[in-house]
Amino acid sequence: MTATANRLQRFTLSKRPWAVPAIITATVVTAAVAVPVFADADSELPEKSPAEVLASVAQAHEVPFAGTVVHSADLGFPELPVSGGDVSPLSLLAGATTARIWYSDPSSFRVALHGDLSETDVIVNDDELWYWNSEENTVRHHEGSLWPGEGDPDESGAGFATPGAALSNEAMAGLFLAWLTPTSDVSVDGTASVAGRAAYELVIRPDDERSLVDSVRLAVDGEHGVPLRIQVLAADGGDPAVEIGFTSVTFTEPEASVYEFTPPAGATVEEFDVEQWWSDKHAPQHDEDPFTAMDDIEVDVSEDGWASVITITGIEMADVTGQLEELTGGQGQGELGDLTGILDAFLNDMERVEGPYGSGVGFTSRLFSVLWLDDGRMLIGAVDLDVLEEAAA
Amino acid sequence: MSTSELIGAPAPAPTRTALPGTFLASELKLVLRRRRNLGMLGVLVAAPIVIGLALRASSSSGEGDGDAPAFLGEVAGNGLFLGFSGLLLLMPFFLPLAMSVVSGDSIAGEASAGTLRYLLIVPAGRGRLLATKYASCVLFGLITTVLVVTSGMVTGAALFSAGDVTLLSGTTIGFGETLWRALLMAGYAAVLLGGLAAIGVFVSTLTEVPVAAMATVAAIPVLSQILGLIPQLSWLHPWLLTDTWSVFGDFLREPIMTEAIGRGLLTHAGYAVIFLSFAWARLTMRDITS
Repeated sequence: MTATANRLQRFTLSKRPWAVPAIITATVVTAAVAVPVFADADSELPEKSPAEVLASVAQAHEVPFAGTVVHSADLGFPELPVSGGDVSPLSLLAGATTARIWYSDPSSFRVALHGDLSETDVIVNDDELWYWNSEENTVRHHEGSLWPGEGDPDESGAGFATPGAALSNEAMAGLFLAWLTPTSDVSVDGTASVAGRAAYELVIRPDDERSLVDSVRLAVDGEHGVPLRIQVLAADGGDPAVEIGFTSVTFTEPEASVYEFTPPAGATVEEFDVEQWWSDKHAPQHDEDPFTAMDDIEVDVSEDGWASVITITGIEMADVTGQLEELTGGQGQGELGDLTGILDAFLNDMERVEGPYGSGVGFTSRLFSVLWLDDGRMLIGAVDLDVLEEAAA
Repeated sequence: MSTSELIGAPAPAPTRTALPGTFLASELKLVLRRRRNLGMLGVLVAAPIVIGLALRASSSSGEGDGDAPAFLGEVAGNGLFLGFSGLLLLMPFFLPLAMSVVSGDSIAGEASAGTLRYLLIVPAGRGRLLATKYASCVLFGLITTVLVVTSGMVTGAALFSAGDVTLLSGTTIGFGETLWRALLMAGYAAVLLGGLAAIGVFVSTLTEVPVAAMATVAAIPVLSQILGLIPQLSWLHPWLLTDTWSVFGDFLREPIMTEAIGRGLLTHAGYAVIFLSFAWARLTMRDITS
């Protein structure tokens, strides 16, 4: 035994020293590649129907969890000059964003959107809401009921706050399925592994061949019913056009301290009334609205399942650029970042189109197309440009 | 193992079992006594002081710091932040440069001075020589990062107010917690430099010209950062040496975000093991003539 070991050692040390780094490199690389694969290995889950999976999702708001979510988008957009910092909402359109989420119940949760050296937090703790932006060093605080009044249940997931008020989870899942099935094929495509958890993968595939969406895949935790990942796959194949998913998740009650927030010294604290904001947002305010010149905008949706086309009339290109310049004080820099720059980036990427419907510019991304005609009509749909041209004619 | 080793006495130990620490201590002393290395250390420690003075001058002249990165703006509010900022600003280039010089010199320097063969005459073994050289590089890295953070915090406290520190998450932490996080950041930076040091020691075994080794090692993080900017190579990015070099912000969140940091520690451990084994193989194979 020792003789063999000795001989082996003499062999490796004196004659073949390069074998040692070769073996070590192979081991390290294999471990680095294989460990995540093993961690993500499919685990067996009992078979479930789409309705059962959806019913488990409807129950998921009772499950506390904490985890890291990564959002990535590859819509095939032109390079966007997103300059409003890493945590600008516009940064969600392209690239990847990381957020951490802690959730105990609908009235205590926290979302932290990470930038490189910045963070935006939304913390809800009972009837207090805190918004913190580290780049601007501002705090917004709201006290009182969070969701808009009971008479307005459609907005902002009020159904969330009154779970199962009227319908059982199974009935809600059934209704949702009934709404989907005329236009799509809904199935459970075995199990996937997301953040090391075994999950059912619910696949919603449009029946309509014109749709640019190949499928929407929703991975639902097999044990707790919490949605772990949603992917929108484009018809051109390749990487998901949009993906939001957990990279790590634990289903334990987060510590109460993560929901505690005290405005730091030196920060601007602004009291903020959610209800007021909601009503402001929904009430027509013609005198303050910066888009006053666009009063004559009409929105029309053709009912055609996945190939529906949204037609907006009354958007003149000159108006929009003018409004944007006014809105951002001629500098093109708004709260959202470089707005005019983004518009320019889109316009540069658009091609001139002409047809029986008139002329204008067209733009196609991996998931949707836009046709903007010179007569002020704008058509948007998750279809190819020629379908929009047909609709415009 | 002899009793003298266990109690750590400097010992009339037989020559073959010299105390493990003494070799390293003398090696580290050599590194720290070299005028070139002391100069680099001085420049690195002075950098946060210069940044602090510049910020002080601009904030007292009342100019807006609209273009400054947000984390530099924090310094004016709390001086202790300068410790973090110093590390962040030096990590992309100057700290790895210093490490390239020290690690690139480690073996090649001895070879060019003609002292390598004498080192190998003492029955210390080539593996042990390599381990000691590497350990002294890593310790040099740790000393540098700790000094940079310390100089930043001391300068900041002297020039600006030093009170509670506001983290990126908006949470306020006291002095003890601030020190702890600063120490964690310095330690993490030292691990990052340790990964580079392993590459440096390996490159250093390849040549007898120390400057060539230093220049090669200094180019590696730059190359890695350039590769990290090319979106078509996104599959490669998680494996790059520098991919986790900018995650210091995660130490300033509450609770600390450990995912990228953990990945950084693992990748650098991997780099260190691989390149040290290559360096060992090279040094074992090599005919030492100088």
